Amino acid sequence: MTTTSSDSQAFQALETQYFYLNTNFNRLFAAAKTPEDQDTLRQDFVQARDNYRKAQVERFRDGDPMVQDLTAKVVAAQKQIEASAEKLQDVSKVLDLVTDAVNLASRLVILAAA
Amino acid sequence: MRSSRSWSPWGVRAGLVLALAAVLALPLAGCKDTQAVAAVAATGTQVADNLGAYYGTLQADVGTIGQVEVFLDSLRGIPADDGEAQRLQAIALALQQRANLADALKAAYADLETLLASDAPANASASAESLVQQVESLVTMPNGVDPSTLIGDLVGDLVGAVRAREVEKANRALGEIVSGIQQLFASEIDLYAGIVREYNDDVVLLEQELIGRDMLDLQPVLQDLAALTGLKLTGTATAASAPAEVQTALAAAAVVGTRQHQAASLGAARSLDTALRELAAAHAAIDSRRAPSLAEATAAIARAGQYLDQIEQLEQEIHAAGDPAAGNTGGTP
Repeated sequence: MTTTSSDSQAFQALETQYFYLNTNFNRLFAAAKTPEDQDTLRQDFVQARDNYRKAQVERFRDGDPMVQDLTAKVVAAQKQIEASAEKLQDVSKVLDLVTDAVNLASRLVILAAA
Repeated sequence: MRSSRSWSPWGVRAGLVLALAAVLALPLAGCKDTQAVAAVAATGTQVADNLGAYYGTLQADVGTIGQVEVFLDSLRGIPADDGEAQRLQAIALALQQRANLADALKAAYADLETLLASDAPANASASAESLVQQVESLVTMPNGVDPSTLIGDLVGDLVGAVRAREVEKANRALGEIVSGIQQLFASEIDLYAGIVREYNDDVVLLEQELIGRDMLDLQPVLQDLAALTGLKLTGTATAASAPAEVQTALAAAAVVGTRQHQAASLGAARSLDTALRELAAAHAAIDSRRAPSLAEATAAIARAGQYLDQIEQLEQEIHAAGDPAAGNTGGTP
């Protein structure tokens, strides 16, 4: 069974990720210590946005175990990011978490489109 | 961008025009209840008018999305996204075509109303031809359904109607076009909602970005909140001098107005979907010699009109906020 994007848990996970990065971009960018870290954040943000835009028009199979598994991983990764970024003590760790989470999200979109 | 459709064979194009001309010219002779036809035509004019206005609001939203995204990306040092520009351009083109289709439908109904009112011959072929052209030129919305799969089947019906010169079939043809437009609209309604959601999100982000940079005047928000109490602010109360936590709260309140646009647009879309469906049903009722019921369509048009008025009012408020002549520069950079 497929689900329209706005009703899908997978879509909501991707949406949450994109909006979190969008609204927290400036804070994370300011905390990034090196130009390389800043570029990484830019790339992750653009990838998260692309994922979200693709997700807007996909029909997700929320009942598919693989989709469920990846969605749970994206949700868990998001919680980790939010917890680590709250105090932003180790920005490199936060950025690594962001990159991992965005990569998971990309896999989720590919799975949805398959 | 997906290619435009090539589904309408040129061989039947002339037939299409003649069929629509027949729709506009022949029902008088064949329908017993011209009042019913007149009522359907009047309702159809209103539906088409509101449909065109709705697509106009979506086009404006797409323009805003493009501007805001370029601005925010530039602030963040993110290179211009050519793919995104092309995506928005394709959406804008598709919306423009649907607005043109609504205008052509309105013109066709207006001619029908004229014919019914004056009982005089009218040159209806121009509006009919325009309507056919607009139907033929529809491109697929990015990630949408190919219009030819929804409206393409009507070609045969129209040709059959004009060949048989049957009033009932000709009358049915216009109703089927409306039905096709309704199906197209219904198939794209999630895409329309996505556009408005994107618009909403981008504007909220823009507000947050400018507020974060202390570039927006939050005094109007403070005044609006104070007005809710029925009281006035003291002369010394200003947003700029408020404690940090109050300024944060004002910033949160500032974006609430943007959400109203999203709700109004969604309401307009749902109302128009209902109005189109009921209009098609009214055509079908006449075709089957039943009295058409326009109550639902009329109510839906009224609702759509209210939502569109709300959107217009919100846009006027936005423009007024940025109009120095209105005494509000919209910011204190």
